[in-house]
Amino acid sequence: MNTHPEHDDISRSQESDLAALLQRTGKRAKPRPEANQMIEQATRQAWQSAVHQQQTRKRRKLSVMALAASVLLAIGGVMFLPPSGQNTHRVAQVLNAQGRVTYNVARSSPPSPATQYSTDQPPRQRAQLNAGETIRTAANASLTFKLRDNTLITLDQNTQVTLTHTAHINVLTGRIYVDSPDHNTSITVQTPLGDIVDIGTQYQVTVKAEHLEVAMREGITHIYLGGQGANSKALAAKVIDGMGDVMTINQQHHVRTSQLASSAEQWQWTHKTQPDFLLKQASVSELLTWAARMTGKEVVYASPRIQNIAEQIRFNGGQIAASNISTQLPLLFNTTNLALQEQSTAFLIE
Amino acid sequence: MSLKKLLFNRSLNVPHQADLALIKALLNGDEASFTRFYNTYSDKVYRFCRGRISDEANCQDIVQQSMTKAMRYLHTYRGEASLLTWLFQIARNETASWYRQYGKNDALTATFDDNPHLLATLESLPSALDGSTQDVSDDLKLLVSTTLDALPTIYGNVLEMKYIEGLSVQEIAHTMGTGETAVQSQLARARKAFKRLFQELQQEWSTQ
Repeated sequence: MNTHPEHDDISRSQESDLAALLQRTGKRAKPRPEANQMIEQATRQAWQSAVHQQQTRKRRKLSVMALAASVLLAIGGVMFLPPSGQNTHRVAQVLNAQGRVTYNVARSSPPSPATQYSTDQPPRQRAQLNAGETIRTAANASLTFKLRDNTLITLDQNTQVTLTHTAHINVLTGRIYVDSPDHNTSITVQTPLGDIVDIGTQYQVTVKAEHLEVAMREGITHIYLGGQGANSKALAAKVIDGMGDVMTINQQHHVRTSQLASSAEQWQWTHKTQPDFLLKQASVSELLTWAARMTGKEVVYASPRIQNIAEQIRFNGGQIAASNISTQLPLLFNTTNLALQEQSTAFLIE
Repeated sequence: MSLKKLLFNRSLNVPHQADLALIKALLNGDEASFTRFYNTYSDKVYRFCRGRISDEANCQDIVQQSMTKAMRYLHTYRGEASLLTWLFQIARNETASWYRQYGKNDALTATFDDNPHLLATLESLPSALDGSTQDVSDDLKLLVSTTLDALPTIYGNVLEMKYIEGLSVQEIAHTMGTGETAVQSQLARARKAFKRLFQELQQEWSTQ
């Protein structure tokens, strides 16, 4: 047969050759129909059996994978979940931190000091805090986080707390500051010597080996010595005329009470990690309210008209830190037609 | 290009995706895929065995054994060779096994096993093409049959319908359920493919 592979098709004479060749050889052999039927039937049965076995293999593989996934989940649960009975959801948002702060999920209750801190993470990587989490600040460190009800919690240096749930903090050692502006909600601060419950207030709790100290800056708290059980002893700590109770309770539950001004310098440690006040679209009145809460001072307007003006004037932008209130506030007032006088216990606006 | 590549491994650089897809569908229990598989390959396996086994009944047994064994080992097919090559390998093994079982020594098969290239070449051809037969027309018939089997199934079918059965393009189109233009196009490609492959097979055979 003459061939020309480069051509797309064969010539007419070549086609004739091809036709003659195929006619000479005839159709290809095939099994007889009845034989073919038997072969097909046997092949089909073997195929169906193979399909069944394949599905069995798949199921077995899936079972193994599911088992492996279960094991991994169980391992993950043991490693990362908090102790049973504690919630795993996020309960607080970190607002600011200074120095070295360590976080971990407690694995036992009470946690063993030797194994308590298995995970150290920089504070900037921890925007959220979960229930059951233990937080510890090192020397010269501080941390402020916000609970779901907008209560701000600030941890002083060398402090260790556990977030039991969204409204329950266990202070193991150190000092915390609670700023709870919402009078409709309350949180419980648990300490080895007693629980402190507030309804919208500002106070600090100091836990040391020998005593518990609760210092009031605003509002009222109740202190339940020995916990909130039926046999506990309840105390009320309050603030009157800018002077807050400072209750010191020793191991024998003996209570010593003194006074601390709401605007005293002793509160300034709380400024370290307080979030800045954002001025954009904020009114002078709102700025003063924040400054008063940060400093423990009152805001006194010379007249309702002055107060109205303070509510109308708004800033374009910028921010102010709690630690710079005394220096920055006069500069801000220079941009308004209001006058500011900062006194020891109040801001006077004229 | 070697005959092995020419016949069964035209796309050695890539896996036999279409064959793999067919096997996957088979393993998923797809009935249409089984029909397509059986109609495409059963006759080719039969002819492969028929050239080696003179007895019709024995040939049918071996074909049945080969096809059922292929079904049992479907999950082992990896697409490294064409599905046709894979099936022929199974059929060859079954044929050799049949000879061993019934005490017939197949010298041809033993010779093939000693030479992989020769094995690859002659495995595709019925044993009668080794020249043992004096009937040249039978040799030619087997060579044509092997060429047609090595072509894509539809090419072999349209060539048979056109030149052996004498159907017109219109009748082929009606039989295949397609258009006349498509049939003409397939015929053109089939003729070209047949011519090239047949020539290669002739040359390969004449040099052995």
